[in-house]
Amino acid sequence: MNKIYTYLFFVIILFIFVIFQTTLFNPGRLGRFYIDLTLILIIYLSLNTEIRGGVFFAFLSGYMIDLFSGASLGLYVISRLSLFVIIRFIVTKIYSDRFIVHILIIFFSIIYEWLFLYSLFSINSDFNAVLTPSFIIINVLMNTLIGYICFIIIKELHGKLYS
Amino acid sequence: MGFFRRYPLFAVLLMIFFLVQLVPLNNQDKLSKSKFSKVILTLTYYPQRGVSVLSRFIVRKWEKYIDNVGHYEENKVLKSNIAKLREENFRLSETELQNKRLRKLLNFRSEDEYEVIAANSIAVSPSAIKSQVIIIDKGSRHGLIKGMPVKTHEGVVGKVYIVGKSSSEVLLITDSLSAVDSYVQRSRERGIIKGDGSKWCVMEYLEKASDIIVGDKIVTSGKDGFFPKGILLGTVVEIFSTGGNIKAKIRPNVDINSVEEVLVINKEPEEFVISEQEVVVNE
Repeated sequence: MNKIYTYLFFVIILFIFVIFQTTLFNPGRLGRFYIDLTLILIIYLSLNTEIRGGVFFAFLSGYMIDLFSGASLGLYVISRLSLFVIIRFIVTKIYSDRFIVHILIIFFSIIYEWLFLYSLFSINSDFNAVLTPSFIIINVLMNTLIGYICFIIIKELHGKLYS
Repeated sequence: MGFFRRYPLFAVLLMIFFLVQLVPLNNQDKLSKSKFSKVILTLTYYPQRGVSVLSRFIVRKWEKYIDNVGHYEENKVLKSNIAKLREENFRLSETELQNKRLRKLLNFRSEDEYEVIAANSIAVSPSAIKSQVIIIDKGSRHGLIKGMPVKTHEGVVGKVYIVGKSSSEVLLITDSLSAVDSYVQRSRERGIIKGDGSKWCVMEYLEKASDIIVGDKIVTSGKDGFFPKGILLGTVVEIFSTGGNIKAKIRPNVDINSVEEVLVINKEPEEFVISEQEVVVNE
């Protein structure tokens, strides 16, 4: 399949996810739930695409989240890029094409993202948002469930594009 | 070094840890000045607006349906309230006219002298950690510039942070980077209102002997060059001492999580006006 179509496909998916994340899946509508769809896309890309393309999308996704959250340039960029590198490293060591492995990778990636940002803010700024362990666990479980559904949808669409 | 050769993942994590220390969390200028940021804001404007309008339409239809239950009783109560409010409105407009005459007499500036631009919130921050941002459907083509104050009829919301062509990002007063010069309305004690990164604000730089009590209203002082004087910010809910000063926890008057319609005050931040004057002088 033409590489440009693949890139175009993932750019469209990324934009759709960012738009959904900033409009429908925001805490104003969902209470205290934060659904991170773009993170799932990065997990999918780190498992299923070549490195250069994956790095580009990890950067773009991080940049867009940085932009829409008013965060400093680079915060989410580093978080997404580092996650991409870690998953790429892990999948060289294990057989990753299994349902349970996908679930575990999504689960631990979401935990990694939360801990990464939380620890960074705790160290560097006057961040006072209340984040209890139960709040994090509920969000991680919720994101894993929705994330896996999104993961399957992307996989199906990507497969259809190939065929 | 042998340890890192055996476990390269630890080496990667350690590098990432040192790398993130270089991220300046309190410096947002690079992001707000980037042209790429403005392009992304412009590209996402129409889809965000579309999804926002559609979802709001569905929610309102649903609420309208739910509201119809018990409509008759509510209508009777509302009619009697309207009569009372009409009377109150008449008295208030009389007072306002009198107030305007007196202000004119004393050569006072009021916030009314600034025009407002009505805007809708079409999106919010997608981040779980950094969530004190909203996107509004007005941008540079409607006359918005960085630093313009944003409010609702209930009080201050924040200020314009990144301006795209048709949409802009507003940094809320509850963001940890936000700071607003303010007064206690009753006693005129002055302090700085800062966001705490969640849904609260904190009033800082109050002396220990300051006259401030729980329930006091806090208003903008107009001295920070951004916000006009006298806009309601919030209410004091708790006072605590830190070292030689006291701080007050403030509940913003605007429900930041559910803000939909906002007003952008057409007031250029004074720092920009000064820099333009300096340019003229330099020329």
